[in-house]
Amino acid sequence: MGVTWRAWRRGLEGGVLAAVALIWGFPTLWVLYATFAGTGHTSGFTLGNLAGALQTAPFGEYTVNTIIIVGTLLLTQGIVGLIVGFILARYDFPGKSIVTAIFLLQIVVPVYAVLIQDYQIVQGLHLLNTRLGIMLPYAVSGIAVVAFRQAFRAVPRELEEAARLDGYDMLGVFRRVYLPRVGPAAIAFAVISVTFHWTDFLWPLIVTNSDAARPVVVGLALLAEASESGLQWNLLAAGTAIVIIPVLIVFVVGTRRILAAFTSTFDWR
Amino acid sequence: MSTLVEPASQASPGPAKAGPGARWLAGPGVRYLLMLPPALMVIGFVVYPMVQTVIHSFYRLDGLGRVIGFAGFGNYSALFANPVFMQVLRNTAIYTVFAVVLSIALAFALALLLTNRGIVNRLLLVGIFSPTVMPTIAAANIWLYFLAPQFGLVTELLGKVGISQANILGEPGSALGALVALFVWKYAPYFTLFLMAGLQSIPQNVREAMRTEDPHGWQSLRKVVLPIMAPMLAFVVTLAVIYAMETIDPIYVMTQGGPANGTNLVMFYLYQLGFNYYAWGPAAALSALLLGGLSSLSALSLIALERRAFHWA
Amino acid sequence: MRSTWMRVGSAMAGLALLVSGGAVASAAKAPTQLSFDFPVGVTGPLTTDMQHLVNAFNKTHPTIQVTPVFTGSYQQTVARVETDIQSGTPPTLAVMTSTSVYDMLHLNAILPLDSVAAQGDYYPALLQPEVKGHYYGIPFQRSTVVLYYNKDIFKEAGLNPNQPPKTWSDLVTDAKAIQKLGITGIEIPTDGTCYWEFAPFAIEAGQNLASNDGLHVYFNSSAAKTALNFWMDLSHKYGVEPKGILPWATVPSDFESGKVGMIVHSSGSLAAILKAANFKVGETFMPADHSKYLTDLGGGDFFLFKGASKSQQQAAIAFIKWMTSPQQAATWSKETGYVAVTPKAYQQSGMQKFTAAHPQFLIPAEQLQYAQPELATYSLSQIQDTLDAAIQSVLDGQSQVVPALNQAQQQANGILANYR
Repeated sequence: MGVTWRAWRRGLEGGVLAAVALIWGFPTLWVLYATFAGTGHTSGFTLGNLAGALQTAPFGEYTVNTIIIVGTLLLTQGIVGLIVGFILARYDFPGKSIVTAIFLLQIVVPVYAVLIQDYQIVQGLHLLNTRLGIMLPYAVSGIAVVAFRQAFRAVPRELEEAARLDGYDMLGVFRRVYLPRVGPAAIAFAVISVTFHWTDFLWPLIVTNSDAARPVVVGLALLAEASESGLQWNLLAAGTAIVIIPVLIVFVVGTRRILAAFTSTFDWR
Repeated sequence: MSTLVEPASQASPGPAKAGPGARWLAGPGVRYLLMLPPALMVIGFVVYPMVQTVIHSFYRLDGLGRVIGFAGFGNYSALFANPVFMQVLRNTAIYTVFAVVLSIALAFALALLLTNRGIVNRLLLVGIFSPTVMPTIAAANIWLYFLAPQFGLVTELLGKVGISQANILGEPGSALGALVALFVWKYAPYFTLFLMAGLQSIPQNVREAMRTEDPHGWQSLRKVVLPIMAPMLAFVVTLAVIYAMETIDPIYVMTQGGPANGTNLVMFYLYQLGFNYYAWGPAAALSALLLGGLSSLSALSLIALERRAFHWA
Repeated sequence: MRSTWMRVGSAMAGLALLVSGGAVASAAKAPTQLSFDFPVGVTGPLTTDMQHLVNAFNKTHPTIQVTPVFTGSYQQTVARVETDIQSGTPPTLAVMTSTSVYDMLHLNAILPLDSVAAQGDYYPALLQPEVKGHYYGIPFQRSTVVLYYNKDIFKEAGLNPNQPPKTWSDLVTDAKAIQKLGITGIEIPTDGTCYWEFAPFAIEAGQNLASNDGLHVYFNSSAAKTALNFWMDLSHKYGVEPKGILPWATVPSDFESGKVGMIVHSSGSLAAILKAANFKVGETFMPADHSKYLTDLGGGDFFLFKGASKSQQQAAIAFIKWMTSPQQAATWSKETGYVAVTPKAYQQSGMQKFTAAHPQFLIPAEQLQYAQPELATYSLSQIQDTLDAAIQSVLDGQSQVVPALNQAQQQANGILANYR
């Protein structure tokens, strides 16, 4: 009785998952299809759309910019998150609530409220139209701080006591006890950071003047933000394909690892 | 809460296993030093501009955002006096509730399904999680295409199931629904990841017990899973609310707030006020309100988190 | 009139002095740097075309270096310009919708370009509005509202493919014939800034949507009411148009795939439509209500911003003149379908050959004698939104024509009262 119910249920679950995968994945499938299929005059497999998209803008350069921006931000946010997260998890000190609140504010404040002021700051530092200028307001990530703080909090005190008894000082303790536990949280935060910054559009648009520092999403906007005439959908699909294919590849290759990371982190214990 | 632990190395007689500078490194001064640059960054790029905006909200501002006089609550009353704003509030409330509830419910279901299955086809996984990597601009344009009246793919599908002449984006109600659908499509997989993590924190023995004592799972869902997941759920719900209230890109691309302001949501309205109408005073007031609302929400949920975080020790 | 000439004359003299004075020194110093914000009104390889134009200019003018900055859509361009002005670093030049002139003036951000307007031999209709005696925008990529129709479908429906509808009643008749084939008769985009497609109908019914001083609008005139009723009739009474709001971005695709016989769209969409359609595309004037073919203008102008140095300003003026000279105007028109801003462009031999092969590109130019200015006021965005919301709520069945338009007029009056 329990067996058939279970089997039936498994089949149903499988069906539901497949349906969800199809619906959720359909737009991506369409993008790939429309990129390589022909438009009104031609039909069949074509690289013409990709060529057209690449003609509009130097997508190669854009992709390099994006990789640099996303990679550097990942590193900076990660390191800062580790340090600040650790301090917040491990120590008490006067003003701790205020400090925590400051980092939490980073998660909460909407972009448009601070857009102009941030632009003026970056401008004052003469960092307009540079990758550094794009990255600067994002260098500290409240989500990284929170994620790592939780990960460190989850480490039982006994482990640290044991290490201390072995004679390690704080740095050693950090390296041997806390750091190894941080892997999953790091991957989880990495996914959040990469997906956000890979697709962040408005801020880089405002800050960049030329192709020098432009990330690839702005190149996409060149195709999409038509002012007067209607859209050329195949070109848009091609541009989108250029933007998402690298990330998709990483995702496909690393699916299990990414999933595993999320399923063993965020242990709110 | 965490207790104060002073580094023992200064008193411990054991062999030092790090360089001579390590002692100084562990001191309290260093902590402040290490936290200072990041804190300053956040203060510079986030806190200070917000404070400035809140202050400005009590002044009259010209078309270029410069202060030209005191306004008291004038900007706020101007904001609320505008019927469009009231509609925006209503739209945003409806949208946020539906978007959050639907995306979290779906994410939870997906999390349960995926966790129980163990090995899931890689293709399925990529399909489910693909919306996360597509930039909203692109996704919005693609959905615009799918939803085109008469000939968009979705419209044709609807025609086949009996809903003819559908014009999803052309009517305020269904347009808002389309935006909700876009939100769920984009974020449910994202939240699924978090919730899957939350499910993992159920200890193995408890899972065994659930499996034997409650094969159908409903009881354990209510009595065991949900309470354990509460902190994670609170966190994800907070994220969902923040993301929902900050929705703007799809509106930009698909509806421009229309038809007839039916999809004008609060972030888009903020953009309109500032960059289209040059009404920087009311814009500042709205920013201040948003800040207040969103921060209190986050604070509440994070307090809930702190309380529960040590529940299942 | 005389004072204008005097002003122009002195400006030109001054300019000549500047130029001659500068010419001596410029050989020795670095090229003047210009930033030029532009929205590229169309998609695809046109960004490359713009780049080619700019490169050609830079090469032939070694003392000037223009850097084009792509700033998104027209709307995003305004946001960008606003941010730059607020930060104290306005661009030297930008292409923005011609109607942004009042708001830009209100921000005290732009400089008059009377000298350029006088010598450029532009279509007079494109230079409007003249604000307080000055011209601030120089036309660059301008468009008109046109009617596209599928000649093949016309033939199939028993209509003469060379006789597109000339009046509103012709429009209805033709659309009905097309409907009989099971194909949609006509589609008029009504999302977003639908006031633009609405204006020609209102104009033909008797009155434009606004006065020329930026301070008065006529949203509830009998002309506007007639026009809006006609729009409602197309879908509700005659059944030749789908009900509800139709998106600007997808209407051309419907046309290109042969699913609708006629559409109303911008003349600037011509190039894209020709490329994607595999049938004979006809373009024509907007059908008239009573007697005149009237249409509405749109598109972007060059604006010069305060804050640029004198040498930058004069360099910018040289750039504007070059970009809108007959040869460049012809090139840009060929590549987009935007109307060439000066009649001399159409006399260029290359252009003549081109338009012989593609007569559709001549339609917008021919329309110019009938073209009326676009809705332009202070607080323009808000005014537009007011009318757009009213029209859309009627089309959606949420309100009736008369109360909706009356309310829009009332709201608009309230907004504009601040500027009178």
